[in-house]
Amino acid sequence: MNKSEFRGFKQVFMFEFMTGVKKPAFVWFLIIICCIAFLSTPLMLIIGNSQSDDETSSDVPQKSVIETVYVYNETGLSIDHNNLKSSEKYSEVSFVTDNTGSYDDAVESLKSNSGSKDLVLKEEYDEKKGFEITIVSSGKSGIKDAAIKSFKEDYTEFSREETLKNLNVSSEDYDYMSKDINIAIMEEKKDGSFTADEGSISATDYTVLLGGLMILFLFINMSAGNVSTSIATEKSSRVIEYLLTGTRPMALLSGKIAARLVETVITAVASFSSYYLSQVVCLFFTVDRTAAASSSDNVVMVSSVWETITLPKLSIAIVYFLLGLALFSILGALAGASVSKLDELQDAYKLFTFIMIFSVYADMFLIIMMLSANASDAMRNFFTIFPFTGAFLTPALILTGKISTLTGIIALIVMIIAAGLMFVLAGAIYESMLLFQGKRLQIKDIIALMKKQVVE
Amino acid sequence: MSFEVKHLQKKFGDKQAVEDLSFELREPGVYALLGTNGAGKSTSIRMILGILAKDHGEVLLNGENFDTRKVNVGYLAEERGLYPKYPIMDQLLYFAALKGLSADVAMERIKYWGDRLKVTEYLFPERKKGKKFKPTLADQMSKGNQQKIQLMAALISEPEFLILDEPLSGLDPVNTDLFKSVIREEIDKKKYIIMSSHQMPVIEEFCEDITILNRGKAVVQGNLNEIKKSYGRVNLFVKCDEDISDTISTLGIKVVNDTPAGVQLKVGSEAEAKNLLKQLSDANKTIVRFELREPSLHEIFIESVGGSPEDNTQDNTKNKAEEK
Repeated sequence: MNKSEFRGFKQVFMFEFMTGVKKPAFVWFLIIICCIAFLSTPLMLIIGNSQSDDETSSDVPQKSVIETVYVYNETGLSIDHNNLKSSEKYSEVSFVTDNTGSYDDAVESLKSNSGSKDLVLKEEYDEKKGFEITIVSSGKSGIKDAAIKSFKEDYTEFSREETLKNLNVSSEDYDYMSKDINIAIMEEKKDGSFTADEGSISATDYTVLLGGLMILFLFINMSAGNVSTSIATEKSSRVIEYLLTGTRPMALLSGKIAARLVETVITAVASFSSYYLSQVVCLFFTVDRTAAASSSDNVVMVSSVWETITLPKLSIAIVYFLLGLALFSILGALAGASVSKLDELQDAYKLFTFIMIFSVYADMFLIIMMLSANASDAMRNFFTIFPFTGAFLTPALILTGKISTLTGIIALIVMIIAAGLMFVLAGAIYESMLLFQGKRLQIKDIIALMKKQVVE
Repeated sequence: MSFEVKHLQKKFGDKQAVEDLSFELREPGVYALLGTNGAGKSTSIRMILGILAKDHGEVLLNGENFDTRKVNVGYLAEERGLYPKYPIMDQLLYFAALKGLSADVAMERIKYWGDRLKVTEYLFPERKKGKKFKPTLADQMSKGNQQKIQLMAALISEPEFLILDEPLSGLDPVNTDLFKSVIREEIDKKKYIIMSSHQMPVIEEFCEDITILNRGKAVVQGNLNEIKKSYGRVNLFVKCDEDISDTISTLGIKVVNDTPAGVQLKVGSEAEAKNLLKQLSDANKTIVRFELREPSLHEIFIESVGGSPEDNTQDNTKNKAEEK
């Protein structure tokens, strides 16, 4: 493959790029993805604020609508419900503890009093299960679900405090004892250093990896689809013959792929810029609000992921992503070149779609396994380094620090080799497939072309 | 400049699409490749252009390999095509860029050819006030106009070498004349042109040298006038007021066609024709027409490829299917 094989690359690239970005489909996609990216933070803030407002409203000493709570304490602990009445919220609520009837009778009585604002509460202790609290309300109770939920949360806290009092444990001691215990398993590496096991991931990592997987899948699928459609259009409209007098197949192939890569980079940069702008705007507007601290957790949640990013990691991830995109675009190009008519493209695309979907499912499986801490190092490394699965996941794994920079570099080298080989292979059969105008080429036909290499 | 095609061969599976094709262009002019459908004309042209790999043979320009990346070649393909959903102006600028033209030069030439081929209204559609400008897409044009755009694409780079594969097929008489006048202009500009066609009168009008291909093989090749001469004056057309069938059968002359306008005969030699004339004269027949002439290209073609054109078409359809 010499330089003259790429004669016309610039012209092909410019034409493909300009016609690509002028297409309404691309313009709308860009607008929609930027809108989603820009609106994501405000939406999370709104959701966060509404939850926060609920919590805030529960802190306001509004009087509870509950009139009477019939308490059946079967724990054996001494619980003073007047302590709960001391809060203004429950100051007018009657806690009846000296019930003459049984708990079942009280529940039955509640059934017959529709519209009552009474509750029946039973506290039990089981050695195996621990403390169990049952709160019963009437089916047509005058108490709203939110009030019952609020009472449940307040009573849980109250019950814990009363239990601690019974056991003579201070709340400070309880807080101390309740702290998380985090265990890191350190493994000795070949160089004698010890590193922590990176197998498991948090819920936040899970969200980020899955989100990243979906975004890369979207970009790769779109790019490869565009390349294959473009090639199939040139074949079915027979314009390819004219093009081949001014340029070479490799220039056509590489020009198309490069145009799609640039389109994807533009889309990614635009959407990330929208997201970043959205964060800046939201932080500016929420900085003085009391709800900001809690609601901006959503912002922080994703932002914290970026804290692990370094310039080398970012560079490796971007290059890897673009190579993955190129790899699947080459496969898409071969699918496009194997048909003579546009309406055969869907059929030719089946194998390609299967490879892509299978790779994405495999990646999803790995992410789930990592969440449940069942992913072995070998499994993670294989999925990271194998180009088809790595194309969708490795950039996110590199950025989130779930694989070491060294593994990232190895994956990148493998991807460069795979994309290069695929490009050379595609070049070997692309020209003969381009002028082929018969029925759709099957895999065996393509393999025969590869062996025969009828191209000069 | 000399252009040589030497021993070109191509096989598709078991079918020999082109077998040992050789010809030469030493001077500017039009060289014709003739043949029935599937005879190997387009395959030969694709191999000449280097867009299809040759099994064997070489294509030389001034003794060096002919490379479309180095030589300015214009090509009007038999299988014509444009991007159906893209503006034609964008496509022409793209094709011009692939030929190394700057946008300004390309635009100038597009204006010229648009005017010359009467497609300016499609290339520069009117901008209506208050309405969004909508460029003309290829699939919004008629087939004939699309063909004009493709001829523009072939000529936009002012090529020194022109390959026209069935340039007039599917055109109405007005556009056929328009295309012919453009081809004539290119001939006058001393261009090297290779043309393939089914239309024999067109070939006779433009070409001096020809190759007739049959199932991939060159069956007739050389200067058209010399080929005709080599066949001799054996075509005789006779019209008399009286019935002359007895005289013809007595002399054993082959009747090619017997119509109310006259009898078309094939004679073995000019002497045989003279003998018939003498017999008719002696018999006091009223001779209205007696014309002895060389065979037309159409007749040479039919004789060379054998059988009727319909038979060949069927046969070649089969070959094309095998090729696929």
